[in-house]
Parts: sequence; structure tokens; C-alpha cells
Amino acid sequence: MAAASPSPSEQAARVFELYGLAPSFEIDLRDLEDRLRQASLAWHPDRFALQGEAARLEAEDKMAEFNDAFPLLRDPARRAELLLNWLGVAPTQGTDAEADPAFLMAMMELREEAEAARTQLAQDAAPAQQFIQRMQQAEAELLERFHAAFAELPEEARAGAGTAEAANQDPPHPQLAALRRLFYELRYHQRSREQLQDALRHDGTQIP
Amino acid sequence: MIELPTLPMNDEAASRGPILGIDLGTTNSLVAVYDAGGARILADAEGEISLPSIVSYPQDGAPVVGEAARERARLDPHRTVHSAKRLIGKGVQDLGRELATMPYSIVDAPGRSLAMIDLGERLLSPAEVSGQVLAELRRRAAAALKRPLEEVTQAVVTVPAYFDDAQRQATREAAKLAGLEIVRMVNEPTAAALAYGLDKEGAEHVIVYDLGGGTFDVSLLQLKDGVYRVLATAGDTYLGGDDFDRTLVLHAAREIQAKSGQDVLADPAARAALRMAAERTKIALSSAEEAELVFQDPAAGIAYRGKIDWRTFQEAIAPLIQRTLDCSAQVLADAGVAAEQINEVVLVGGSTRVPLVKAAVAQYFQRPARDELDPEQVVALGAAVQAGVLGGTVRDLLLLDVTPLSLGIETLGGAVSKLIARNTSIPAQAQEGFTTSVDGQTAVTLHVLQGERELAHDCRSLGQFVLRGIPPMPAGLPQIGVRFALDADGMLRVRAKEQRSGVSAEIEIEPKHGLSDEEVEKMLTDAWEHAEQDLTTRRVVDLRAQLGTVVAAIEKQRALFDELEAAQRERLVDALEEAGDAESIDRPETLKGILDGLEEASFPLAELLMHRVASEAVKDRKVSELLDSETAS
Repeated sequence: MAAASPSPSEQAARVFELYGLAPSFEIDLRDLEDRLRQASLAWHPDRFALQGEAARLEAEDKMAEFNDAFPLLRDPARRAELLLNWLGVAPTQGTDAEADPAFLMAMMELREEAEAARTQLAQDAAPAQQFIQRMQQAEAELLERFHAAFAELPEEARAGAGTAEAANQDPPHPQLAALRRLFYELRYHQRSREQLQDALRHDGTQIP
Repeated sequence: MIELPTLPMNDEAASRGPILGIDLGTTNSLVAVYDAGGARILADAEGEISLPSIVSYPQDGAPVVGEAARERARLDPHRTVHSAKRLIGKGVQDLGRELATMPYSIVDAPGRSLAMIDLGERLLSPAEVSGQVLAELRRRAAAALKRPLEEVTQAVVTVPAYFDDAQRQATREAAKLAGLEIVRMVNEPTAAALAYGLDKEGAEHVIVYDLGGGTFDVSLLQLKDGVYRVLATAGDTYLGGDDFDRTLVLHAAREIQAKSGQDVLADPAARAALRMAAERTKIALSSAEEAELVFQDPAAGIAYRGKIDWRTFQEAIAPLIQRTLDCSAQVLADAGVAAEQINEVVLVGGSTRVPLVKAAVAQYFQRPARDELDPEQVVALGAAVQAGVLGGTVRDLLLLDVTPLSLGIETLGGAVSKLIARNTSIPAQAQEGFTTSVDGQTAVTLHVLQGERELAHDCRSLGQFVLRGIPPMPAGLPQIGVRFALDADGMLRVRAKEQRSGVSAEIEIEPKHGLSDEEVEKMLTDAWEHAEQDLTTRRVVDLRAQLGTVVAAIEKQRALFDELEAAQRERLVDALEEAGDAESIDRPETLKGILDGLEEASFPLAELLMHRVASEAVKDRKVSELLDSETAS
């Protein structure tokens, strides 16, 4: 038998560890870029061009690991998702997001509004552009709330984070459930915005 | 702290022969090296730095490369291949409208989506053509560096950023055919940024706008402490200066049709010649308000002299330029960088010499674009810098590139599941789990795709990957972990492992567009079997043949000589006399001079002919027919 593959929580912990960072929502982007630059200077396969196949392949694997981890840390929405994984409440489709009719209703209304803006793109792009701007604002606010909620997590909610046994409670700790709810909300806003932006791009209109 | 390696890095520069820096272009190719004096272009014995990427395959001898091949384009259009880079790694259905503009015949290799040039007696792969160009550059480099050819075996070769895996693979094959190992493939715009060395000037965000003969690429780089990191890249593999030429070709062809009723585009030789004339006009328009497009075909009795002004040209190419700006906007959006944050804009590629292009780019980014390095040399120079990095001569410099296209696999229902998103820094990798659907199944087929579209059939197929050797188990039980890795060259490698049993599944890649290893081997053997032929002899033979054709066409109209002005007649007779000595001349330059002189001197005669044809309003008959009947009467 091969060793069991690491849990999502362990994988998330590994992403932070690779960059020498403690799991946190707060990341200094300049510092993160400096760390990637430092890792690249050390690990990029071009630095091993004369060292033979084995050393080059090892460097390639390592560099790929740094490259793959970078966008997860840089992009705030993906960082939020990474933290949820770390906490052991991996965001999935369905589960408790569907259980709340008010939340679902609000998200469906968003979808319908986006769809209406898309169908009238050819005549008037203004509603679409306004919608996109509104989503961007909402996303920024949701990320702020996520940030605050993460910082306020009590010790028991973070217990076991980063291990194979992370957050095995069902139902999860209420504050973790709330945190994940914020993420679902964020993802809905983001998707509605991105779909509209794609439509605009194909339409050739200027994207805000 | 981040993890650091314990392995030694490139501290001692092992000298195992030079690493060349090669710009394998659609229209021209160059070779450079990095040595004590920095990066420099290597010229041939005559001091010529750029090699036309044209190879001609005479019926009776070894292939001819470069300028000599260009001269054969008119004589032997079906066997003279230009722009092979547009075909490399593609199938016929990928070519679309371009197919019609190629004077040689293109077909798919039997049973595969792999465009080949049909020479009649055999099919020629575009990789072979590029291989000939690379071999010529390799010979040139060995001569310039005074090294034996067998010591010159490694190169950094540039490719358009937008080249997909199949195109990169085919380029690698081409190098192999030329006896060169590609130690690193670098994207052209990135190479250009290296050549400028802008990190030393403190620029942080740099746009590289690369408009070549056949492709357009734009990249956004972030520079800091000697690290060049590409943030985003976009492009169009079907957009370049050749398209500018095409607008002029179509313009001239329409006018010729209106005047003489002849469709010059129907004749491959005439089309090739008109294309060259259009290119000259385009170049003239970059320094003048107005330029002439001169085209004559004495054999068909066509003499065309048209004027194209700057404004007409601008209108014709404006939509093409707009497409490049749309790509630029995409790159900014993808990187999340605003146009105002750009510190420098660098121009690359011969087509950025067109003032209209330069102005449009400067206006878009609100700053003058840098072009102090020759836009045609800058990519090769950058490749040489990267060769210096790999060889250990250049220190404190590192290039971090991205993959221009998303990588995915086909899922149920023909949808695409993305594994690695575009603009991800490379090397990169992705892990995906697969299982079987039938009890005891021992093989699983994966369809790997590259592209941004949602449906598999809209993306570029890289081929079927077959995982074999899965231990027989009930359906759904095997857990096959497949790792897709893109290396620093942007090329795909796939590894798989069945996780329950720990068995590594064997992976077989069926090339959809590339050549199989056997095919490459066979081509290698064929290439060595063709003995080196004296190129000068070949050129002389070709030029004499060309002269013969032109002389015959003129002699046919001798009856009309009297209608020429005295000076014109005298000049023509002199030129004919000179041409009569061709058999005793064996310097190609002299012969070329005589040919050019004769064509020039015959212009008034051709005009006279055109005039006659037009005045008799016989639109549907060939000029030659008309004159035959006239001289008979």
C-alpha cells in the first residue's frame, strides 16, 4: 500500500509552510513576491542547467511547488479558501449553504440580475458595468468580514488545524460554519461578476 | 524561512562548447552568442546577419537555404517553402484561410492531423524545413566561432509566447534534425526584455510588444533584483506583418484585375513575386508619405505600377493594429496592472518598424516605445543572454516565465476540466485522480487539451494519453494519480501511479500533431545521406534558368521594339546582350544584377503591351494569346 495522500488541511498547512509563513489572512504582497523571488533564485531549474538531469528534475518539482502555491496565497479569495481547508471545513458545493433559504434566495436574485444585464448587453452595456462594480465592492466587503471573523476565531475552533484530524466535528463549530458561509457568499458574487465580464469581453466592450 | 536547496548551483561554468542563442523566425532567423563582449549576433562570411527562413527543394539535389532559396521562389514556387513556422505543429484544419496564400501544396500526413508540404515525390514536414534553417545557422555559428561543427550542439531557441505544446514539440524536433539540442526554449517577448537589460534601469513593469512577420505576442514583466518575472502574456498566432503585406497584395491584385482582367493570385509564382513587391512597398511607406508598388511579370505580360499613400495603408491595417491592442488590454487585465503603472514599452519584431504601429502603441500606453535595439536582432540577443545564464557566464539574472494557455483534460460530455490555468508560472504541475469504469479494466485513456474554451472540440488537442498496466480490480476501485507537469520550456510531461497497488502506470502518448520518434530518426538518416552541395553552383544554375525565361518572353515581342522610345530601346537591347553572356558568368551576384537590370529595362515594353491589351478591351484572353495572334497576322 502506498502512503495515504495528505488531507486538504495538511496540504493547506504545507502551502504556508513552504513560504515560511504562519497561516493567516493577512499577507504582505510585496513580502510574498520577495519570497517567491528568493525561492526562484534558489530553485529554478535554470540554476541547475549544468548539474545533470536528477538535480534539474528535483529543482523543477520544487519550483513547481512554489509556483503552484503562490496564487493561492496572493489572491485573497483563494487565500480564504485555503484557510477554510486548513481549518478542516473545506468548502464544497451544497451542504449547509443550501439549507438556508434566505441565503439561496438572495443569491438567485443576484444570478437573475446578472443574466438580465447580459441579455441586454448589445443594446446597453451600462447595467452590466454597474453590476460588475457593485459586485467588486461587495466582494471587498465580504473579504473584510472574512478577515475579521477569522481573526476572532476562538482557540477551540482552530484546534487541530493543519493536521489529518482537523475539525472532524459534525456539525462544525458555529463560527467555522459562519466563516464558510461568508466564503460561499463571496464565491457567488465572484462567479456572477466573472460570467458577466466574460460576456463583456466577447462583446468587445471596455471592461471596468 | 523558505526552503533552500543543499545542491550546488551553476558555480563553475563548465565549457562544453558554446550554447547558441537562436531566433527561429517566420521570415528571418538569426544566431547569436554570449561571450566576453556580451551578446552578439554571428554573421555569415559575407557579413549578412539575418537568414531568410526559406528552404527550396530542387528536384535534383540538396535543399537550398536562405537568400538563395528566396531567389528560387519565383522559379520553383511549389518546391520553395517560406513561413514553415506558420505550419509547424499544426494540422491542415488549423490553417484556415492561410492555406490559400501558400504557393506550395499542403496536405495532412496520412491518418493524422499534421500538415505536410507535398513535393510530389514525397511529403515534407515543416519541422524538416525549420531543421534546414537551424542547420544553416549552426554551420554559420561554427564558422564564425572557428569551432568544429560537432562542438556546436546546444542552443537556446526562441518561440512565440503563444506556441502550444505541439508547436514547441515540433520546434524541438526541428532542432534535433539540425543536430542541435534545445537546452531551453524561451518565449520571444521575454527574450527581448532580457536583451534590453531593463532591470538595471530600475523599470518595474515592462510591456514587450512583439509584432513579427506572422505572429503577435505581448507580455507584461515585473523586474526586480535581476529577476524577470512574466506576469501575463497574450497573443495571436495569426497576426503579423505578412498580413500588412496581404492588404497591399489584395489591393494591387484588384487593380491589376480591373486593368488587364488577369488574376495574378491564381498563379503561385506571380503571387510570390507580388508578395515580395508588396513587402518592399510596405518598407518604403515607413519612411515616406507615399510609395509605389511595382510589379511586372513579362511572361504573362503584366506591368503594374501603382501608388499607395500613407492614409490608404493606415485604413487597411487599422483593424489589424486594433487586434494587437485588444491583446494588450487582456494582458493588463490578467496581471491586474493598470496602463499607468507601465514604466517601459519595448518594441520587437520587424513589423514594429511601421510608424503607424509605433504611434498606436505609444498612444495606448501613453509613453514613447523603446526601439533602440534593432527589433529584428533583439530576440536573438536575448536568447544569447539566456544561453549565458544557463552556461554560467551571466550571473544574477533569472527568467521566470508563464504558460500562455490553460491545460485541461476532456471530461464526460466533451467538457474541459482545467488543470493548470493560463499565466501560471512555470514549471508548474497539477495532480488529478482517475479510476476505471469497467471491472478488470487495465487501461484508461485521457484526452489532454490546451486552450481557454469550455468545450473540448474548441480547444487544441495535445493527444490521447493511455495509462496502461493498471492491476485488474473492480470498477471504480483503482485510484490512479496522474501528475501533469509543465517544465520551464512550457512543455508537458505526464506521470501516473496507481495508488492502491503502488504500480506506476505506463504512459503512452500518441502524438496528434508531432512526429513519432521513428519518423524523426528516419529524417535524420535521410538528412545525412544528402551530400552537401555547393550552393553557389545551385544559385548560378537557377539564375541562368530565370534569365532564360525572361529573355524568351522579351524576344517574343521583338516586333514591338520599334514602338519604344530610342533610349528605352537601346537600354533593353543592351540588357538583352548582357543576358546573352550568362552562360560564361559564374558569379551569382553578377547574374542577379543582370537579371534585375533586364527586368527593369523591360518595363516600358511590358507597359506598352498592357496598354495594347487594355485598348483592345480583350479582358478574358491571356496577353500571350493575344500577342501570338497579333504577331501571326
